[in-house]
Amino acid sequence: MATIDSSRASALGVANPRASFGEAAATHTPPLLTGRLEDLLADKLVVMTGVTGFIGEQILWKVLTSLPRTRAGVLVRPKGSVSARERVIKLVGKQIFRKLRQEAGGAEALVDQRILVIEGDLPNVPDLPRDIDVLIHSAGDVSFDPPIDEAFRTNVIGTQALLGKLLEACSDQSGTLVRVPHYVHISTAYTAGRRRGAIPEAAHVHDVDYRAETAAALAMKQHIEAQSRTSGQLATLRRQAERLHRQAGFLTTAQDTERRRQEWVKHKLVEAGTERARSLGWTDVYTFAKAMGERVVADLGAGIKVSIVRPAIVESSLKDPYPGWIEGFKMADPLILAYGKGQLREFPASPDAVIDIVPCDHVVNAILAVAATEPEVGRPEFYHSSSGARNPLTFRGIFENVREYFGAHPYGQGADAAPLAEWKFPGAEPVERLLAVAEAAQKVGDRLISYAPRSARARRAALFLDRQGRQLSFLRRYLSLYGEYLQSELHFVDDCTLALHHSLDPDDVETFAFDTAAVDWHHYMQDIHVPAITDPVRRLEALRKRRGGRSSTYRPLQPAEPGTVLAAFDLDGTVMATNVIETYLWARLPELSPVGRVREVAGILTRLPGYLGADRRDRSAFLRSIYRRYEGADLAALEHAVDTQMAPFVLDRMSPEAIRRIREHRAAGHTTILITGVIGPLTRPLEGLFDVIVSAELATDAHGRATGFLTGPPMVGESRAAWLRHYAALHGFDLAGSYAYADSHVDLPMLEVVGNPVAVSPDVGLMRAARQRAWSVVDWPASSPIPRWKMPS
Amino acid sequence: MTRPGFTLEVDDRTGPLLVVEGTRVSMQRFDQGTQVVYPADPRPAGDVRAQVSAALDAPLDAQPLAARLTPSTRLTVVVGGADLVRPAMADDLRRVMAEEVLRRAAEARVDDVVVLVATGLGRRIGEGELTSLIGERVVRSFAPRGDLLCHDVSADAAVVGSVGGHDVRVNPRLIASDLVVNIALRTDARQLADDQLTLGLGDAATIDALAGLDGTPGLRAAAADLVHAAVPVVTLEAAVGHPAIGGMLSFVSQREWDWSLHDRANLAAVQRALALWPKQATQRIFADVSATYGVLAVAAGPSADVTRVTREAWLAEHLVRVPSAASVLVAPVWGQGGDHTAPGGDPLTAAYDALVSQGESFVGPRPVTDGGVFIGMHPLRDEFSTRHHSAAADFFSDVLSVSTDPRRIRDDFQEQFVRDPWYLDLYRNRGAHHPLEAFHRWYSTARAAQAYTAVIWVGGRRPSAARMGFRAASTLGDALEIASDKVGSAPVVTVLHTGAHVAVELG
Repeated sequence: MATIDSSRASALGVANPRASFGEAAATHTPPLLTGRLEDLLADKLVVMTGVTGFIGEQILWKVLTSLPRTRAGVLVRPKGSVSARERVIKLVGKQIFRKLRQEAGGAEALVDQRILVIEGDLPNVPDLPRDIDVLIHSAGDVSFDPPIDEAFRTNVIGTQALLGKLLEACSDQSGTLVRVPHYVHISTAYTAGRRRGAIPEAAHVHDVDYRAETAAALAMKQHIEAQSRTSGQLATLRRQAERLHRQAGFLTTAQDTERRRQEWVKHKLVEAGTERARSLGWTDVYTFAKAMGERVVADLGAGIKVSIVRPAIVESSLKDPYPGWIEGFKMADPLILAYGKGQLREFPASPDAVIDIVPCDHVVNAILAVAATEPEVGRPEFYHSSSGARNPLTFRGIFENVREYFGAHPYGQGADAAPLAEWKFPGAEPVERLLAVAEAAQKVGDRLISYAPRSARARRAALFLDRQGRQLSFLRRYLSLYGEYLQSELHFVDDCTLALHHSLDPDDVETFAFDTAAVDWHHYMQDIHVPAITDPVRRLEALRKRRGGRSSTYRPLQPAEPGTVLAAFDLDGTVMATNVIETYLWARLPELSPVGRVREVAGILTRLPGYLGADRRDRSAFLRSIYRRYEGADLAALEHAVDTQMAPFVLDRMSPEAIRRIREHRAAGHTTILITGVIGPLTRPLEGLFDVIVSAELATDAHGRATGFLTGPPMVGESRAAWLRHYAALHGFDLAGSYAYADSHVDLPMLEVVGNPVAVSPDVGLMRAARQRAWSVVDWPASSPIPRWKMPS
Repeated sequence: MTRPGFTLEVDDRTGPLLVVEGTRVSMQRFDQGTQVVYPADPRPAGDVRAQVSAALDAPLDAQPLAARLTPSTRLTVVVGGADLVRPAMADDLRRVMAEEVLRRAAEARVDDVVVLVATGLGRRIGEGELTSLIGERVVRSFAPRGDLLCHDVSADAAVVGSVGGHDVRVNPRLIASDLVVNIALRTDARQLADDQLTLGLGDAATIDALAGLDGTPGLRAAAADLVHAAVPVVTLEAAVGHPAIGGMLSFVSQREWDWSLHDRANLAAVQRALALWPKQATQRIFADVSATYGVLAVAAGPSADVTRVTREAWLAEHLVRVPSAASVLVAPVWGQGGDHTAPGGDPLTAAYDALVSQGESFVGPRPVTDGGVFIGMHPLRDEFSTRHHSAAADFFSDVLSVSTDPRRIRDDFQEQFVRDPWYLDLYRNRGAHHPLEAFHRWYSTARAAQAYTAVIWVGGRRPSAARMGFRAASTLGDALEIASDKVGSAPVVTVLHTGAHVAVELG
């Protein structure tokens, strides 16, 4: 029963199965079931870890539902202020537990009656009950690319601690085992690593020392943390942050630098994990650490009954709790969705690679059957929960199924229906080349867009670039995570699992079946799995569409007690379609002779590249250099000119929507504040709209002439945020209920201090920041038909 | 010799005719039988100064102005605002009229002379526009002394009495004068020259009582009588002819078959420009429109006499007979350069222009049958000048979206707008229209619209038309189709030719 018959072997393309598996695997018969599962596990205390995860949740459900006489225990860690018990109550509040809840009379009653909650964490495991019979350890990191230290902490140190406590609970005070529990360890089939061909249900052959690897992984964390704090590294990160945020100010830059440092550390630890795994023959740190975990189990479990279940790629359930039950996205799912959305034109997988999918309920049933066996002490049993050996589903098979599904149920309706690509499977290299070219083009596009003048067109281009970029980075990440699995040439022999399945009591077969050869993949993909992962997304998007593009921070204003809510507005580009150079020329030119005007304009033009460069680097330095040009201007004359000649220009250039919004704020009892780097006199026409105007003030000499300097630093970037905070604190304004409107990335700090920030006709930097933070983006065009070159006269 | 206005009945030989809607220029064919109303030819300006002098020196039923002036006379010269005439006068007649009056005052050594610009609810104008209105010389000598004042309807005013239970308040200088010379232009058949004293120089409350929702010609006449009783007034009024538009839009003031090569070239150039240039640039074509106006008659003297003379002269020139009463009246509204920032005109101004200025300009019985339909032609773009029409923009979006009923609007919104500090700041200091103006214009527009069973805008932005309670259609054909359930499939259609400012009379 445990051997592969020759017809199956030839279907697998294996010429001589015995030769490749080795004799031991071929002849081994696992311990079989000797009765009905509910009898075998009756009155036993089965403790489970990982019940808040995907597989663990269903194990708990199955135990509660189909093993009524089994005592269930769960090890759950408290999360923040939520205790383990509360988390379990919340867990059994889920839909699949409904019937159980009703029978028990509520979620709390269900927990009280059926579940022993043990509060604890890995690796800080508490004392376990001394009457424990079976411990199913299904907790673990689900990410394929955790930082190396985390991977070892969870899979090796965590398992060590758990087993240690299990042994302790089953021993007397002298440390002698008094009871022999059964420890069921959930690993992964991919602990086989980069091996090829058939993988037997046995311990993998390797001589890696898990203790040394664990110590090295933990040391790596220290090492990289230290490295990230070296001056060289910090300087590099700071420069990167400055490129984006220098205009906004030092604090913004510093915050971004620190965020980049943490990201860098994580990235390096992930990289270290991947490289170490590959250097020893594993695909990634996830499977590497899992393999080390199996070694821990073999070592520490030498004196007890141990079984190791290795599922392959676990996807939605075939039958229980209901067809298509799944929690979150698993490995193949993002790919399926992206394909359905028409985002993947080609994909670098081997069409004949076997994608070893196994429905979750099969895995759960197999685990419970394993739990009911009585393995020999000191001889760990291995079980593959997989489909590839006897019912292989190739990548091309998945593709065709997915294509057929989306052909029948297109993503989006009518004109929105996404076109479906026909993959030709050109192999990894052409796709990799294409990807590299696209990434390079993306970088060039990003660089160019950072120089583009502010416009709706630039914003559209940036949105397009961002969308492309997201797709590219999705593809890149997906390939780096799963690329190898999609070309994998290994298949997992599941003879022991099959033998166990065949030993199920006939009355249990209906409830506890786990023979993956019985799965009809066409039915599974068309009717169960693909709908299970796409329907929630469709529902979510339909909901989002119904809600419309309604913004979150640009909302109808509510009247407020005067003096509690403020609304801060930036001037240039937000309320008025101008810039500092332009307003400078308005203010300065009328005063000058015709020759002087030509000279002034020419002077500005020749220095324009320098000014623009300064603006990119440091906004306040730029403003200072412009304001130096006011040197010698008569301030009183300037104010008179503003009142008599410039006011119409200022008003014509104002956006009607801006005025409307400002007035709405005033009508609602909000205090309106204009914060601008523009010089004070130029804001005079706006005095009727704002309660407070904060602007740059030109310093004057004894004759009332401008010295070219300001009386204080210009109000830009972080100074605005600081001013707002101070003003709010001084006058008792509630910033969380307040509003701010600005158009430029420089104004990010000012927007961040209020609860309702709005990006107005933003530059690309601010638009990206706003989208990231779910702020509203509005467009307030000024409708003035007066050409920009027309000057007040 | 100029040719009088007339009605062209479209037949199979009639070619396409000029239609200007906002800033859109096109040549359109009309159905046979359509009555197209053309104004009289423009007149040359003539010797205005001589006519003005003659009028002042030989007033109707009074002694010459010079004889009424002594050095101690407190003389106030009242001049209307700049927006009264559209398109703007290239050479404002009032400049000559004011200069002639002030010359006589100077000759009589009158010391206390103030020039009051009676802008009413219109925008208070700045030095630049004052210069083109009354001349650089007057501005230079009066402005620095503070003797050239633009009336402010929100400032304190003096009571001259009361009519219909309302106090009549006017600019205090007006009734503190020994003599008032009221310089007016007659541009239509209805306007009393006296309105300039009460509606041009009253305070906002007075203007609202006289010309608001419940204002009547009777109340206005009674208020004018109060002013006349308080202070002697000499009215100096000129009736003006059809404008000859200069520059690129010269073809607008000419009949199509009279177009010179120059006019045709201009039309082609404008149409090209509109198709190819960016919006900003094309709007300049309409922002700077100005025209030369011929003088039909100038008269001075007591208001009633002057009005009679100038009204007769004006009607003699502008009255056009239309053979049959129309079931559909079509009025294109073109951008006459009313506003630099929205030269095509905003929806409120367009509706007022079409329904009131054009639609209500008739003598005798209404030239549209009962149950008739009005078709306006204008893009109705939701564009208002932020400087001049801030209040009108808000009126359009916030008030009309709630109700189009004048009474409800007056009761629920008018007070709040009139007291709004931002509108008042813009009005007082930044040359904006007074917030009340948008309300008054809407009252008149809504009242005029009641005479029709439907108002349809050809080429109009649908949401704007709907906001005002009107409908929109993309072509005249579609509009007539929409109108057919009211007026049948073969209506009598009267089209007021683009730029025709006439008084229509049936017969």
